[in-house]
Amino acid sequence: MVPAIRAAPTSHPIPQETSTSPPDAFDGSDCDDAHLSDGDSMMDSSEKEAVYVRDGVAAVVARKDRIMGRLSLIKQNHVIFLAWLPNSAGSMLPDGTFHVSSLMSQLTAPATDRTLYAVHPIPLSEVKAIRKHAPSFGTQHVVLVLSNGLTLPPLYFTSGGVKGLFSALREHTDLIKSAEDPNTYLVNSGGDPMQQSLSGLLLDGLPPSASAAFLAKTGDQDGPGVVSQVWEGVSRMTALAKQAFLESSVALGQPLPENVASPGAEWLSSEAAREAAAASAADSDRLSSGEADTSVGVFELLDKDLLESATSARNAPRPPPLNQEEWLSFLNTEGRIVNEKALRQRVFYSGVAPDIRKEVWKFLLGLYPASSTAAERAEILKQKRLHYGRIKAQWSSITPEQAAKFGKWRERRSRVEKDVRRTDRAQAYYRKKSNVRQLQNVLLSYAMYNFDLGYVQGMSDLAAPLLCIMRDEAEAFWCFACLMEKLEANFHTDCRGIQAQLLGLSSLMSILDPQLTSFLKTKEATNYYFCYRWLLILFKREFSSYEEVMRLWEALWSGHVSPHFHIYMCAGVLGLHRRQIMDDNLDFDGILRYCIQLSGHLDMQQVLRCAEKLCILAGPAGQECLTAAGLKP
Amino acid sequence: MGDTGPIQQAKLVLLGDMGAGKSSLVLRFVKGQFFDYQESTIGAAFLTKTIPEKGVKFEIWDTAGQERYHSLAPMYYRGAAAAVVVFDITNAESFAKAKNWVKELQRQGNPNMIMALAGNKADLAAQRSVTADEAKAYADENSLFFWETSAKTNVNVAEVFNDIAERLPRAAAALPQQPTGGITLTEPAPEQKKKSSCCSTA
Repeated sequence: MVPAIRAAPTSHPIPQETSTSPPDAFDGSDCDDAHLSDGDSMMDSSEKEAVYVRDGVAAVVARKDRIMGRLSLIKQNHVIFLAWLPNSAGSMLPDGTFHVSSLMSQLTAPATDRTLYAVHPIPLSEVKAIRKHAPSFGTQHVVLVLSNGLTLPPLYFTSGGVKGLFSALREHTDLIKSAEDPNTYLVNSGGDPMQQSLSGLLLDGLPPSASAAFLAKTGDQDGPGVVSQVWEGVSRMTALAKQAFLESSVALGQPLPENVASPGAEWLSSEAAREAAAASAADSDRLSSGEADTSVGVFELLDKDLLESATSARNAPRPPPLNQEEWLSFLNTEGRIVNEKALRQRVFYSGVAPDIRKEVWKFLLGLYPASSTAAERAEILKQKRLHYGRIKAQWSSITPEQAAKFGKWRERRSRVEKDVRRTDRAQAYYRKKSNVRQLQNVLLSYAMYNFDLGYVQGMSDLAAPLLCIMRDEAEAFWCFACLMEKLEANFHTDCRGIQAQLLGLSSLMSILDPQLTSFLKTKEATNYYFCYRWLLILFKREFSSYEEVMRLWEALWSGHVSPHFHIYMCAGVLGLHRRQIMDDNLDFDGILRYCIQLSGHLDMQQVLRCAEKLCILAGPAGQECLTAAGLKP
Repeated sequence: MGDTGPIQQAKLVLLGDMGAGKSSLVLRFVKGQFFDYQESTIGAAFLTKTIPEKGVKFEIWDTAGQERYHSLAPMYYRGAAAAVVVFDITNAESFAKAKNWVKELQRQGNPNMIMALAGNKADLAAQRSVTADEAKAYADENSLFFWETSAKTNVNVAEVFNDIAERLPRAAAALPQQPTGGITLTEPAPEQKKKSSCCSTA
């Protein structure tokens, strides 16, 4: 049994059990007082992900404000990512509670800035140039300029030099010294040119000297020249956005120019940033409404591209999943999430490392408010545990005599028992009978907690992965209850939840793909019932591995692109298979059969990318379709 | 039935309470497999099986059992040439639900639909709560084939489908009169041959 009460956050030092966490005690007040012992550490990348890690790297975000952090180069699938994460305000203890470092209060920068300036892993191919500043007196620092023309805050190496960084970079990419400025190095992706992102392609038009000139001005002061340069970059981007749209949204891993600007956008003068954001928003509006107005539709225009771009290796690599170190960097000294939007975006694009799912999912599902402190979360968990205990006691105290007079409960219990014993038994976790038993307890408790709804088939599919992650009945129960808050209408007798979604999908498809829509009309198939299972249990049965399902659910729950992203996923799957459906002239039964048989044959990343693209292409018009169908915006 | 005409396709639907063993029966028939922990069916599953000696290719729709999903069923039995209504002999409630399905099909299904009633889990006869006689009597009253089956021990599974295959009218290319039907019928209704139902494991 799990203890009913968890250890509350504590302020005395706790030995770190996780090697990935930065030291939780450091003095961020002065760079010269470096106590971090490690020099530039180069690791062999055969198994390890990090090829370069440097602590004590401070981002200087204002004249006086500096944020201590760790710069790293991470290798994943032969692609190098660069990340700079502020030292975390606290650390997670093995039991999931939160330890706040008392030294954090000495930081000079405001707590909210810490996460704002974090550089979450970006592919090295997105870095255009790096400028080295090695003054005779003072701290060595570098300035990074991204391919989209944005400049990151200068990074000051407070405990050691920049040499290690440059040798690591040289080892993994081509550094070309600028002819104009010997301290500026152009970073060449060196790999497959097809992996160049849109932003890279766009700025490739700029002569190196222009980039160098741009850089020369960005070092320590922001002049108007910088703004105009950046502006030029942004406008070039928006001008070409339409034609290169597919590559852009996929390749960048970040859909819109305005999003690409983060976190560098803070570096622009606010005016320029506003203009740039407004321009890109206007552009994307134009894009979506333009597509919506044509009778041709997005799929016709992009049929080939859609398939290819969602499939091809041209897609820029996605950064590795959010790990514990980075997760902690999103929390302030009290353990509140400071930059929730960035966090959700990060989760959407890369998912969450398995070892921190237990904690992160509780935010994604809404069990913990993002604004909660570590102490508040401990209290929430404590109360929820007690509450679960009471709910469980309600049904487990029903004696056989009482059950004999309680047909409704008997029926409900028997349904749960029938389904639980055959849910995900191929998964290692559910080969163990005691875990099956726990799943049964969670579902029986829910059937009692939400007696009006009861148990409906499909629920066990949703609950099983939750328990597998939480490994705790009470936590799994409340996560499930949170999830059901969103999905309950799917399970009502009148099917109104599903109906609304099918209706939304139908009108979404009429915007995105008039051709397929009119084909379906001739087959009397515009009720889209063939998407039923996808919507009901969030594609759970369409992917055979838990990892894929979990990754997919994280993307959905992040709510980053749309709260109804799964509907765009339906559109995406249909879009990816529209040719077969139409070429084979399938009737309703045929399409239903076709969709059922797609199970186990979908490429999760491809579907996610495709859905994201559609979501952006549909734009506000897409959202209107869903709202008109009765789905909450 | 032994004639070597072209293979005709026949749409067949399985209906019945959750956990009665619909998916297991289909899987046993189509793939010769049985899983103790056969996962529940969400929406529907689709499989095909050809019986060359009968000249029939079954297109089998296996449906979700829970009452809550009842409203989806017409989508699957629409135009079906045959239906297998399944219940669990150890569960009286599932027999009552089977009767409801039969009623619904008689009322709303394809009028020429061939129906079979399968009392599944015959391997659990010791825990039986529906007798073979009771089920047989009901089947006779309603002109259904009746078999007690066990997907687990592979008893009478093929028999159910073979019976149906035999009863399917041979396709008459000359008279494609029912475009919505799973097959083309040559007669208004199949004769109800008095076929002795089997209760071998009872």
